[in-house]
Amino acid sequence: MHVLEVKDVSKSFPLPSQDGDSGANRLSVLGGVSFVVEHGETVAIMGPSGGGKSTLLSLLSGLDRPDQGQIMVLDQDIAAMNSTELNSFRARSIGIVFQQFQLLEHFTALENVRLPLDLRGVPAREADRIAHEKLDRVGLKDRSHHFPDQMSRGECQRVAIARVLAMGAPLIFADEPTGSLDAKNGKAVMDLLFASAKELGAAVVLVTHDAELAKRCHRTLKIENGRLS
Amino acid sequence: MIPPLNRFIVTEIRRSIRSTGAILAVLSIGLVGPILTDVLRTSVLAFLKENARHVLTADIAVSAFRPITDEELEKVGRRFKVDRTTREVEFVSMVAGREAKSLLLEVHAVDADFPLIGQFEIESKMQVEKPKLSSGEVWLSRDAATVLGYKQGDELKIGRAAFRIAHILTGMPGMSRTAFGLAPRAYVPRQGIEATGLFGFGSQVQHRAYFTFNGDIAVGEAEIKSVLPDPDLFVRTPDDSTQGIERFTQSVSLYLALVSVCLFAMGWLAAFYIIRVQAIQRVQRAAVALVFGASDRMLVWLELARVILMTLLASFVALAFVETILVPLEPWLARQILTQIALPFHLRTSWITVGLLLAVSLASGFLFTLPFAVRLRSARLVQLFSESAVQEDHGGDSRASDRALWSVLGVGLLALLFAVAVRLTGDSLRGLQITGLLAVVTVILLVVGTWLFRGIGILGQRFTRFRLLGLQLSRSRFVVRLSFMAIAFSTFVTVAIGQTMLSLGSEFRESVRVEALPDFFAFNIPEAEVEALSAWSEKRGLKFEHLSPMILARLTKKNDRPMQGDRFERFPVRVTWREKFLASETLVEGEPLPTRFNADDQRLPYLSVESRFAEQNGLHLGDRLEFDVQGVPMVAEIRNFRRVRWTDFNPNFFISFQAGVLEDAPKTWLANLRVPDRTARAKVQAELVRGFPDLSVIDVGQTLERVMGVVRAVLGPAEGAAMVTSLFSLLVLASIVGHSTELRAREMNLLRILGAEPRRVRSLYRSEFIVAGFLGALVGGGLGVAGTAWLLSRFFELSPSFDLVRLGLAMLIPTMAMAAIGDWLYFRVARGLGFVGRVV
Repeated sequence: MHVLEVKDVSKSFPLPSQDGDSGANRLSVLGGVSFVVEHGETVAIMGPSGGGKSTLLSLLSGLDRPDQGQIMVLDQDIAAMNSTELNSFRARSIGIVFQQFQLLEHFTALENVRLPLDLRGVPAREADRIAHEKLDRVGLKDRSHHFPDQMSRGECQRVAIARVLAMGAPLIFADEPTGSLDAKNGKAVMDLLFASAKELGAAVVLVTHDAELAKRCHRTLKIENGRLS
Repeated sequence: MIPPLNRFIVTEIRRSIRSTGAILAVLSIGLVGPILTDVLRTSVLAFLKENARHVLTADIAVSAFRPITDEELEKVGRRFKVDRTTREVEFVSMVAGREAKSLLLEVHAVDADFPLIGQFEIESKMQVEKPKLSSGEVWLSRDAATVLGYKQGDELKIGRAAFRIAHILTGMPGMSRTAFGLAPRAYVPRQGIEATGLFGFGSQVQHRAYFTFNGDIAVGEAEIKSVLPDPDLFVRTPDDSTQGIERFTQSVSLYLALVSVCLFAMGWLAAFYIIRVQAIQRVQRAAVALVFGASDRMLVWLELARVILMTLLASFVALAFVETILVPLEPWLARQILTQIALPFHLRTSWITVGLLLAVSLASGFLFTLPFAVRLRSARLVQLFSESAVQEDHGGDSRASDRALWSVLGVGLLALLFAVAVRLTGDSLRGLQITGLLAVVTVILLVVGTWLFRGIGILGQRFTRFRLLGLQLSRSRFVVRLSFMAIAFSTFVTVAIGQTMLSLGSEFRESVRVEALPDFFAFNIPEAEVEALSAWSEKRGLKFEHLSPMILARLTKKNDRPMQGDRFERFPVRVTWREKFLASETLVEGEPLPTRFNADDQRLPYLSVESRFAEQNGLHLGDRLEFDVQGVPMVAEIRNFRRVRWTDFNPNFFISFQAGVLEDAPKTWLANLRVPDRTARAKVQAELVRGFPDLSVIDVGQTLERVMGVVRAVLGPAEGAAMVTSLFSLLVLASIVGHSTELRAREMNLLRILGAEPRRVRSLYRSEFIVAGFLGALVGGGLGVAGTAWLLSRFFELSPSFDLVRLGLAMLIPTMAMAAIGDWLYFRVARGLGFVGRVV
């Protein structure tokens, strides 16, 4: 069983007509994309701006739906799931690391890491234990009660990684995870992400412009004009 | 301003038209209260100042509880040139009407040249300067004629004398002084008024002499005082005559000022919040402008100009709105004024109001621009290359500058509130009190709110289901905190005013129902008629009780020192003697008085003093008070203080002697009268008025109704204002919440990406606002209940009787409104923002 199987996925967006309304013309962003990702595999997706990378990532993580095709995560077609099923499935199976970390500013590091567990209804003690463990894993044990604006950007990204680890998802998507960090911090963060994913046996699919980072992955997929090359 | 900048500002306003509209709306509504209060207050005070002579009906007057002699008037005439003089005798009396109807009437016995200033208006709408009252004629006010069922030509008996109703009056000169307008008026000729038999010693009769003269009123007042040094004679000036209504206006203004300042503060804070949200977005654009050649100073000036334009526009809209709603309101207000003073009344807007508005607009503009200026200063242009120029803060510097910013804004807002409060109350101390009260309440609510939300956060940690909600609430977010405070404050005002009014109303209503309250309160009972009245009551099966003597005395000294304040110099005190307390009296301090004075055991006779009277006049147990009882000096010692339930309508007194001291002093009597058969009340009253025309009887039920009418007239609008405050606070919250969507959008998307169902997010938002609203309502309601209890015990000596349904509603409605606001926020965020774009 593949952790992710993408079959002939296409996506287009309506183009505004001359009078400003959505017209019948559509802009094709992705056309017939297919690939698989195995458990524990790391895959980089590269390509020029506007090539469809972000659209592909939003489809893979279930934030948007394809016009056609199947996206099988752990053998389940997320494109066919209804909203409730998709939310529940994503909460258990898909972790996302964002370029801008996406931490809640009014929550501490611990609370941010614990958030997906709280949403899933994990008992409070158990959620605390896991969150502490993951923060320890990313080297932020002493910062658990700090708020995002009291931490550096590298530390914030590490909290975001700890959050993904806390979810225990077998599939992690990362959108330009080092885009907001300097080279040193970027490398440290990626070391952490790869090592943690390896420990968990999770697959990592990351979108990046960084060729050096892509080289560290098992495979690189290049996407241009909505198609894999 | 140069044209390109104009264009820039106009474009900025147009591009943010919804936010601009919201700012204008909350600021304008916030300013309506202060402007309305100011216009009403200044109009009434200016009216009184301009018409004070009409209120007095003369340039100067002398009044006394005894007849003013011709010799005394001649003395005045000899000292300075008096143009004209006239006299008036005023007293109240029960009169009988048709079909067993009766009414307490304020009788004015006047000379033919009364009033010196002012006029009457008779039913035919004719203006009459002087009442050409022939002997045996009465001019009766329309209110009285309606109640009594009389018309022109009928006969009206006042005391023992009969009068023919010559005219029905629709307008009268001056204003009511004796019963605060509670009793309608009648005018009769002064000559022969003794025939009414209502002038027994100690009767509550006021004698007045009026003068007009050319000259300075203050000088005239001083001269009259010097030629008439008798402390029984009281000189009144036009300013004195308007003092009562001025005090009333100031009291109402004080309340309105408090409400208005709150409304202004809420509107101001809401506008500030929206402008601050705008500033966060605008600084990012401004940072780009900086890169392309704009200067910091130029951008700040542009922002300042834009904001001041908005504040000025809001002031203009508020002023125009007030003027618009006052136009239809003016005739109604004029009618209210006319019931007291028969002169045309017009509302006016002072230039000072306009000036203050201008100053408030400018100052607010500066304060509103501060967040933009501070953020612009901290903008890091280098970050433009990676993302936002307004970098997340990482360090202590920004926190310190944030604290400084909030301090400046807090002080600035307090200064604005102080300026508005001083203007609205006309008194800097009152202004300071209002501002201080608001500041203290805000601090209390902030502290209470912090602890409550922190407690909820801690409690929530124990329950997985409520963990997120607890976290959201415990993080002191501006919107949640503001929601809590606004709901707490508005619930406090609504509960305090509503429950006070209800308690007062129910106290009176219950008093009327319970047997403790008499049907009639009789006073001015001549000593010679006590026995006859008692026999008459017994014969009809009535209860004639609490018969108490009333002696007029002058309180001259306390512990051998003259009494402080001219009140005791001007007015006599009414004292009595008692062998034991009435049911409406309770001993609060000291010892009970021995039943009778015994010169062998006691050095001085003992006194019992009403506790609040003692407190107000600095009296203590053991103090020696010296009285002048009709020329006879009398010294007595305070033995105890007692609390009096005045609403029982018993013959209650501030000062009560032991028996065996005052028996020989000239006196009249007071008593309660109960009619066991309530259906016979009207008949008994009519018989009483006819059979004992020279005593005064008050129908307690009718009087309470009138008192309640006054209470309703004052508290009704007050409760209305409280509700306006509540509604406005919800409006303010809605506008603030509406502008927090941007800040919520990212959070909502993230929650959903991490697996939260839309239903869960909606429930979380709704719960957050429900809890904030409920806690606010609970704290506000609690404070309101405590405030009501304090107010009632402090000023009315009543125990509160709370209406639990109303209390519950006062807390439930804002909570439900908050639930609706939470839902609205959810849908607004969910509808307006794409699920994907915000995060990825």
